Amino acid sequence: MNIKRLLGPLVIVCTLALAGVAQPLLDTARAAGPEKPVTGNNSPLGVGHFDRNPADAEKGYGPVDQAAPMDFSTQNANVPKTYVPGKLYNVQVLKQYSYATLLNQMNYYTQSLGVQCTYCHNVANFAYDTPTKKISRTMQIMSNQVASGWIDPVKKDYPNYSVSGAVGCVTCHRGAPRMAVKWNIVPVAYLDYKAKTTKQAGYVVNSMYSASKSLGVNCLFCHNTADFVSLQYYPTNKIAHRMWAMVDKINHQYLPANVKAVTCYTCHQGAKWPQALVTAGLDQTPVEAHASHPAVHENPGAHLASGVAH
Amino acid sequence: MATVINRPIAMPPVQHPDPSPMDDADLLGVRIGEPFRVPFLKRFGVDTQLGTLWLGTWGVLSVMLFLAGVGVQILGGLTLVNGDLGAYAHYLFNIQLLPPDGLGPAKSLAEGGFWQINTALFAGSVLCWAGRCYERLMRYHWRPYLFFAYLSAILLSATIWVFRPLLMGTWAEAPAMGLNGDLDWAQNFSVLWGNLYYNPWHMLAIFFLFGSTMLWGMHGATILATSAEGSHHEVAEIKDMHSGSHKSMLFWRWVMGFNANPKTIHDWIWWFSVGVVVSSAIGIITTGTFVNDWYVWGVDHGIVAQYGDMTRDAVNQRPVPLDITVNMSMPRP
Amino acid sequence: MLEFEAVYRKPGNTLFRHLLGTDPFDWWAGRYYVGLWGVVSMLFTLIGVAVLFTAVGQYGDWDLWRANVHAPLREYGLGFSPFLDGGAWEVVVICATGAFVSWLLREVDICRKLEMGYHVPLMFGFAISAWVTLQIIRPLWMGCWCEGFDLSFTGHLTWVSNTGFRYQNFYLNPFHALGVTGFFLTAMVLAMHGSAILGTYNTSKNPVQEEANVDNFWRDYIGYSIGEYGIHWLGFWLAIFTLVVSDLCILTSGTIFYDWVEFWQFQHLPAFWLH
Repeated sequence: MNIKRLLGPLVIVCTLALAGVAQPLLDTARAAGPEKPVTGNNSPLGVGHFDRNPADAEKGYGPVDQAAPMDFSTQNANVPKTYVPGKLYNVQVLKQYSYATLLNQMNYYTQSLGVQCTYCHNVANFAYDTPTKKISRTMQIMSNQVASGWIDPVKKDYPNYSVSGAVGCVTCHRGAPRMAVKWNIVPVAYLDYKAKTTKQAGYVVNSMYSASKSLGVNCLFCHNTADFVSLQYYPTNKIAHRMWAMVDKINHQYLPANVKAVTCYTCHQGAKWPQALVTAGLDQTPVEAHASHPAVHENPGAHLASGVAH
Repeated sequence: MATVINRPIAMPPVQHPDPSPMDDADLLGVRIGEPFRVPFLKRFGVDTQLGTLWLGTWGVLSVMLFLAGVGVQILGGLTLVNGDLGAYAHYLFNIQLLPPDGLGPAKSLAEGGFWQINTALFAGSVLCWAGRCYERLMRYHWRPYLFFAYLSAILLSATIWVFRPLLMGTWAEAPAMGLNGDLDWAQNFSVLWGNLYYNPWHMLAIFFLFGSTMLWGMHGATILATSAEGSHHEVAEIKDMHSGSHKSMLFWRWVMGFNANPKTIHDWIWWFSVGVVVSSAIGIITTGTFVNDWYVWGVDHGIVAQYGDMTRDAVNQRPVPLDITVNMSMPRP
Repeated sequence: MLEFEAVYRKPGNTLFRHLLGTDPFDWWAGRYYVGLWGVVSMLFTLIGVAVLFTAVGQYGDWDLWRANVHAPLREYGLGFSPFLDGGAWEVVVICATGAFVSWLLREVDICRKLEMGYHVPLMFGFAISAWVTLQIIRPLWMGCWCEGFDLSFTGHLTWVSNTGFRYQNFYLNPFHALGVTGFFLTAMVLAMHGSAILGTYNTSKNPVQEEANVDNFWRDYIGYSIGEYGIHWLGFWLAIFTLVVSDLCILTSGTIFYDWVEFWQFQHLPAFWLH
């Protein structure tokens, strides 16, 4: 046996073993340092992966600073300076709700986003408007529009391709104020027009790939590949067109300027139908039931709903 | 009974080429290195001599332009990863330099400038190599078959990278410079232009491509099988056939009723391999110019089943309820 | 007959005769060798073509390009299906495979007669392997005959297109990439070899000089001349490599790997040189 012949394979095996051993050590070393952002959007480098960052408290989008002095001069001019618990002030979107229903809705928000009341409210004066409170109004309008303007028509037109359950806050947020961002390759910007060159077609194909991974399907779910452009007869293709229009609308009309774009993944998160749906529109379950549910985190608004002054 | 794998026969002795005025006239006309033998190759039956290599002005120019192109590619790629070499290695396959939109010079290096420089450098390199090819062929008094074969390959590349983008009015129709970038272009091109499988020149090109492999299999196997009787001395056999060539011809005559001869088989293989690139070039140049959507073209010419016959979903092959009508009037680019 | 042929036309030496001592079909029909396997191959072909034409007639579309004998539907799995729902396809595939294999054995017989190596039938075997992989092995592995491709000119192209996109981006299949490289390399080397012979035959009175011209050109041009035997060895093995890799490319799709874009995410594993 010629030992020299083993040298080559031995070197290779040792290198691999070293890599396997060194990797965890380097990982711990790396964990200490700051995360370098990975490119993803529009990049020729392809797919970017972002992880959820629930602790991310960018300016204006984090919990409200409870110690900051309240300013009633400009936008909060119509808000009473003294908040009386049990009364409703400055309710703009949920105007028709009773007090109890409103608190249930607040409860639902906190659970869907995994936050406390302090994320949107200054708890000294619940009627006081904060940036996050204003965003939540936009979000509620958006949620209503999504349900009634896009999802319900799809369910009506394609009953075989629908499941029961409604889209709500939890569908996108899934217990975090900042949503999971994945498969966000070139979302909708390029779908406003038809690709004219092969280069532009490439961007569309990337979007299509991100859509297919977001739904956990392959191209054949919506397309007959004999002709992508002209053969658009599968119902899934029709539904997808509406979904793209919806995503486009959400991105352009409802989102704050510096929030990463909403894509198919935001709701679908790898499933053909989003797994996190609310049963019928607004969550009307009584507050007590929430409080007794062991899996739900402690209801932050319970003591307020009972009318006890804090 | 003949064995499956024949032993290769002894190689003829090495000859250095005779001096030639063409060799002397070349500024960089030098054969580099001393030829050396690699005995390990003998067990495969291939020639064991490696070298020498002829430099030549054309060759040096070609290599220099090529290396410059590679340098620009790496530089341009590094700008995409902000100079991070580790990231460059990690994303090596995905790094791609995209062409600019429109036909003029790119607005900046990052927006297609690198691509343009690179294309020019590689084009220059390829053309210089063609010059090298022709010059060496003439020096050894070959008929210029190799030159025309190479020219047709250049024709295909030029069609893809230059002629068609010019016709279409934008460089964005050309492939990006990069490993996955080239592959992505093939995919995107087919997706945008109605699926190239229905392009008849694409069909022809594939026929020639698979046919080339088939012919190589047939010819290579035939010669290997009869090499014990010297059929691989093809140039000599063309002048005067011996039993090896007889058997090669008879084998195919008895199998399929038709046979070539030691000369005409090479006509077949030459035309098949050139047919690949020429058909491809025609197929590329007609896409987007004369035909906007090959599937629609196929349906119009009756070669593809109408959508009604494609009602089985592609994977499960159950009939799918078609929704509304096929949108044949989608606005084309 | 060709002028030198008579001396080579000898009965005997076929597989059948070797095994059983007699071969009733050991004769030539014109220029074609018949042999037992020739008869078997012809029978398979006739049956297969008859079934094919019957099916096409029943489907109704005789156009050469559009006619489609489609693969069985998914619900029949690996069983037999009704004639028009895939049964015809199954029969034609069986007959075609039988015809190809007996054609291969006929070639073996002819090799034995001519006392040449078995390289040609071996190569044909690899070619058959592509058909068998696509129509038999992969459907068996995936559990239903519906995975085979439709027997149709443009129909099988649609199948190729759909199968490619089913795995997101088939160009990123490494076996596919290797196979494509193999095909184009084969074409290039083929052009080089054809040019070499066509460019140098009958160019010089001196046969040694003629051969040397070939070697010397290649050494000047690319630094290496593989030799007259070697080039055929290269072509032979390039073709085999290409076919083997192509078989692997389709065999691993849908069985081991479902998403060739995702496949490349493995490079995100020990990337300790990053950051």
